[in-house]
Amino acid sequence: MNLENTKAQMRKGVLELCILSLLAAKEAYASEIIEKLKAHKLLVVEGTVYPLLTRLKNDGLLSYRWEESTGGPPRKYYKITPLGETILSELKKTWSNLVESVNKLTENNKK
Amino acid sequence: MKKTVTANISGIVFHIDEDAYEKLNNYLGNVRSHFSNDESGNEILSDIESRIAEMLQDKISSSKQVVTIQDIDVIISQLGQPGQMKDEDPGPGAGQQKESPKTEKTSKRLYRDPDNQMLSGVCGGIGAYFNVDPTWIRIAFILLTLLYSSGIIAYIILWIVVPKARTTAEKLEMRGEKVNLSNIEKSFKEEVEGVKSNFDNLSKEAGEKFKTKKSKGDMKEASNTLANILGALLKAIGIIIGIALVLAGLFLLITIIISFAAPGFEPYSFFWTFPFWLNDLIHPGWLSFFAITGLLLAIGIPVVGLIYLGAKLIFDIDSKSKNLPLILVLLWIIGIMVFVLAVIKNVLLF
Repeated sequence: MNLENTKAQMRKGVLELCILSLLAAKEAYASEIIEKLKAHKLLVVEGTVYPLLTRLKNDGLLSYRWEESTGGPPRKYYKITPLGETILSELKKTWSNLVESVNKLTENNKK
Repeated sequence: MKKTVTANISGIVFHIDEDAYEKLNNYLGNVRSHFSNDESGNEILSDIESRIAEMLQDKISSSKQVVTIQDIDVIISQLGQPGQMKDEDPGPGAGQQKESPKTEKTSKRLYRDPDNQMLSGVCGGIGAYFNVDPTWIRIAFILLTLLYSSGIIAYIILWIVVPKARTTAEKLEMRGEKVNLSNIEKSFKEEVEGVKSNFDNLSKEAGEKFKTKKSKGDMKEASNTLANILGALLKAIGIIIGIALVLAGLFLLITIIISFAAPGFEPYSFFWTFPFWLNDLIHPGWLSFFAITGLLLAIGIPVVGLIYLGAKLIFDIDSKSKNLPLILVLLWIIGIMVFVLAVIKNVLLF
């Protein structure tokens, strides 16, 4: 079994939840999102974020606006939509259930 | 000293070492082909490009104005290889299967092979699918045609149903090769070589024909399929008629020759009575010679014309001498006139 791969799969699964909750707090552009995710060691490669953001946007969970930046290329600022909020709360519920169950299970196995 | 190039990444101009540029360009090409099936692939790519531009801006300063290959390496390792980017859940254990040789075999698909076509590329495509020389497939179709022409019917159906391999990716799929960058590159090179040699050959002959054919072929491909099929059908019917005409003509010619040369030849008693009946009208001598020659021309020329027409239909000849039919018609008229005059002269002699 490929340990790194499994780890990456685990992270990938929760990445959506993380991005949605980041954006629920404050609108941001891709690089900011990446920095935050990296700070929490949730990202291995940055490239993962772009297809994910695009898909969330296409699914109507996010919206974006362009903003000029000084010196750099224009930035895409993402914002969560009402639909995104609903899904985020669903995901949060699922996540806390999952954490609880997984914790219980792994704790039980220890004993 | 190194050569640098300028590149516009997301609207920002960068000076990049040539090797670094090559590497970045390659990488972006990989990313692009990775997301080529994704409808928002372009958007993802431009997002990634603008991220690269940002990262590059961090890397350059007034003392270091040129992007080096090391910078690109760092950026690529940060962004990750395209294979790591896909966001869809690959399903349990899919990540590991990718390394196994099982997925190396991509599914082959049946296409018509435009590089290997006699008529429409159906046989070429089937050959590529089964990895057999298309000539054998063609022979098989011809043999099948003998079975109540099932070969022709199957061929026409395949022609309609099977799509033509247009893109390089489709051509690779046709041969069952994996659609990846190196293969596309390889196949593209082959194609360029092929086109080059084609051009060399054709320019020696008639380059014009090729040009018109090519541009026309690509544009109206879809609507042409039906026209092609109809054309081929007409051609096939023409060939069948042609064969019939040639056979009938040859049969008549042989009959005429035999009946004129040997009036007593049994199987053609109908014909040999004909000259005998003439003998009653024509006295031997130079007049009868004229009469017979005239008659030969009057009967023979239509028969020759028949064979000529049949051959034209079979081999699709553009008759180079437009005069040939005219000459035949003139000879025919002369033949009739000579015959009629000779007969009249004979009758008057009585």
